[in-house]
Amino acid sequence: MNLESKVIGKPVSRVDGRLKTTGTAQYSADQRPSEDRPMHAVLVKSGIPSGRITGFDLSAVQGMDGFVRFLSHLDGALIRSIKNPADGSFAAGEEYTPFESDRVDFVGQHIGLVVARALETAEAAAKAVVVKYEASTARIAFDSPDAEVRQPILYNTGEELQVSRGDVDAALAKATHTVQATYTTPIEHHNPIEPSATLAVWDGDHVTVYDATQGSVNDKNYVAFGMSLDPENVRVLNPFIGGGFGCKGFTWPHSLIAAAAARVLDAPVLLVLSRKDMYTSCGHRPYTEQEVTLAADTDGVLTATRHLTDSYRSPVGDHVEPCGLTTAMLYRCDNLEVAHNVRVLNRPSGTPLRSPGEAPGTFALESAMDELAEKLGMDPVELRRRNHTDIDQRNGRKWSSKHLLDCYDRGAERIGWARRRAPGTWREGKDLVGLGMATACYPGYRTPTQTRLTLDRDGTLHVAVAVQDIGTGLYTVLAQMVADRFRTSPDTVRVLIGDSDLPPGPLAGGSMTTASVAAAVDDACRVLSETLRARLVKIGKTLGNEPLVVDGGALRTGALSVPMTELIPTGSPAIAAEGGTNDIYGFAGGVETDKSFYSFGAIFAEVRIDRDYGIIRVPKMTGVFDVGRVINAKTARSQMLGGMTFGIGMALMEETFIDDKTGRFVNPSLGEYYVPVNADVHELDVEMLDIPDYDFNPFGARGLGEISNVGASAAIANAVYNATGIRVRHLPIRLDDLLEGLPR
Amino acid sequence: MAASANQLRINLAINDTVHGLDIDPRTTLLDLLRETLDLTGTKKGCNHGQCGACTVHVNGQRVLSCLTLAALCDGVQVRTIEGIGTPDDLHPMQDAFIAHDGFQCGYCTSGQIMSALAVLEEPWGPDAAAIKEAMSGNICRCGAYPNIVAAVQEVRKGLEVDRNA
Repeated sequence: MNLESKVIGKPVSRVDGRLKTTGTAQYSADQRPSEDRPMHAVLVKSGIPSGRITGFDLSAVQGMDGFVRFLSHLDGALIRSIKNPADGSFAAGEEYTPFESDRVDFVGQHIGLVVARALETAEAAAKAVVVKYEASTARIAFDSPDAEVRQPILYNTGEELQVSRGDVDAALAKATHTVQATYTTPIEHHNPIEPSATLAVWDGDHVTVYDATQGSVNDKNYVAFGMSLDPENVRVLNPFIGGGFGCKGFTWPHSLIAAAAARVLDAPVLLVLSRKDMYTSCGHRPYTEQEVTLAADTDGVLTATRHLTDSYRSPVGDHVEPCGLTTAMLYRCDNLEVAHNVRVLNRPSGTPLRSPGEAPGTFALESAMDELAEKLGMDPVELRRRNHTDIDQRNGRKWSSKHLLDCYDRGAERIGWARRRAPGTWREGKDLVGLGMATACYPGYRTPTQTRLTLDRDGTLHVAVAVQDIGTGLYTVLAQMVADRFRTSPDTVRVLIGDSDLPPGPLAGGSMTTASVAAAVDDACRVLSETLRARLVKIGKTLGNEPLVVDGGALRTGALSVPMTELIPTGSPAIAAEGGTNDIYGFAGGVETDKSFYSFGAIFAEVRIDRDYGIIRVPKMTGVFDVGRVINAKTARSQMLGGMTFGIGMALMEETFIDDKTGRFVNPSLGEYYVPVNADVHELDVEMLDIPDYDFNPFGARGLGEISNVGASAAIANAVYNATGIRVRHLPIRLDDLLEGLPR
Repeated sequence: MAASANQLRINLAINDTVHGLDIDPRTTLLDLLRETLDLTGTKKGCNHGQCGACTVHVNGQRVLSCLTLAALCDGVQVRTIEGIGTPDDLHPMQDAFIAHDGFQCGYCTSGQIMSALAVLEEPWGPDAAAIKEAMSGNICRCGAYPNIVAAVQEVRKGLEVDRNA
């Protein structure tokens, strides 16, 4: 089909690159839409983990030059009460209505807003507001004895969280080789470099919200609900978003608070979260404890698998870190149990963070597989091969397209797996060297998407859809898709996204945008082609079956070439077409199909550990991925580099600490929450198998935002074990985990 | 903005244009650029000097504008991303960042490019390891580091940028 395409799969440079490199791309806090300069807002957040607010002392604030207003629950019903599950039109990160009551459920909850003419005044005033509380008993520690424990039934995708098949206990009783261990992963934060920001501008009963969101349509519906507006009276604009990684996926209270303040004050209001605000205002990946039990026969074939995850949720946020979902589908095993418990704690709310469930879950599962291989005396790659399956273990369906065995082969070759030695025995100079690997996988998702296409008189194609480019390269990918179908250059395509008034599309999460727009763009291109053919016939042209080509100022097909000026006479509107699909894949209520859709990959890591100091370095990682057809070789590789870099951070650096007494995050800054910097990242080697999955959509792409940090932390942890003989079952792995036991 | 008792008068040149401004003494150079002068190409990522997104040049050297009080900028020359190139007239470093895909979301990019341009004038060694070190004050959460190093090295070596590479 399009394997011979001139644009699909090519390393096309980003079409928005000139804006992003010159500082002219406008993110939410950069927008200056009105003559009136926006007022600046700063959040006042709760300082206690549980209780009620008894009052605010504003005496230090009232006289500040330029102070405008303080808003809180004492100002009446600013925001319509949102009862979960609300009206089903949006997904929110938290189930409570901001400024609705005096109740406080966690430290950092938004309890007030200061608005001032200047940012400096707003910041000073927010610090000077004194909040009075009546504290109540808080459950903060993970092992709080009286915390409520829940067994949630479904993840937000509709997938079962408690899974059981066969008889695990019976299989374990007969097993010759078993491993059982508990693995933990820490609280982690997304930390996009752009903090969340909302600029709300009202015009009568209509509000325009410039919001740093991964989902303009979801955001529009949330704001409409909270402001008691018809969704048509809300427009969300997000042409550029400075990264999200999940924390801008669902909508959060600050967007409503900014919109409410702008309405009350009848003036544009800009609310930019501080870096510290970001730690408690828009989610995190919760701490997990995962007990994994694996049993295998002497050939390494799995006979029993158990994966029990303990985590927590806040009183007002229902996120569950679904660590065991990967385990339920990945390896062939007839006896399996997967369970998820969540405790309700007075902590800020969790939310999906790049590969929610898959990233921490594969740390546990793939570490356990490494331990099992060690016990069997088997090569870890061979163990995975012996448990490979062409059937989705959850439902018995065949995979639409799975080439995982090739990923293992290619990865092993590229990293030089044959160099691997027995644990703790490979020394080079002062370094202990090791190699480790893990399997990567991520579901294929698709959601309903509509697209509008327009052909101009000057031969320009316009594609419009309410999706957003959070750095993934979607602007460029959309231009390539349309260019492919009209056999033209991406330069002749103008991409309009980042606007909730456009035909609706998915939020940028779950690695699903490319696959979702692929089906919609293909359909819109078909409709536009039919429209153009009809127009050609109408103006007296004789057509063959050859495809249409948009070629500069002419529309060509076969030997026929018609100038655009003849096709679209002066004064006539551009030719428009709409297309799309309501199909859903990967979520509950999706299309009935006999196939399952997943991306797969293999991650390999080499580590070098200083024998005296225990310092861990990752000189090389290799990732080989089976993600369907790659639309843009350049931006796809970049996403993989980014995911593998996320994996290095998760494996070796990232951790948010909470104080069990006060409920405060202890290190809410980039100075104390370490993320990889340039000097931490060395050779990242990426190969894409690039095998189209036309069962999934007409462009054959699946999705690749998340898969590259799935398995990455396990590959590094397994390499650390291979280098040192020390098994670390928690993340991040730091030099103090190794110092005492390092082989001398 | 009318001068009041607690405001300070400063004169400074930004991208070769001289400004006389009455400022709140608490104002940082970053907020002055963004909120007073609408030069929003310079970004605020952490406001604590930890991410590098706000990097600008003051008298030819890279500084973190979020940690620089505007009041201390009287008489200085400031250069921001807006003074480097435009979409229609890119600086070679901007061209190289595009060719090598040295960004994804683009939010840290102004700071990365301002740092990279300063690095050209600083005494760093020739190899990639030196560039990794020199550029480690600029966090890219999307993880474009290898591509950033490639872009900077290409400009340093004075190579022609191949836009289709």
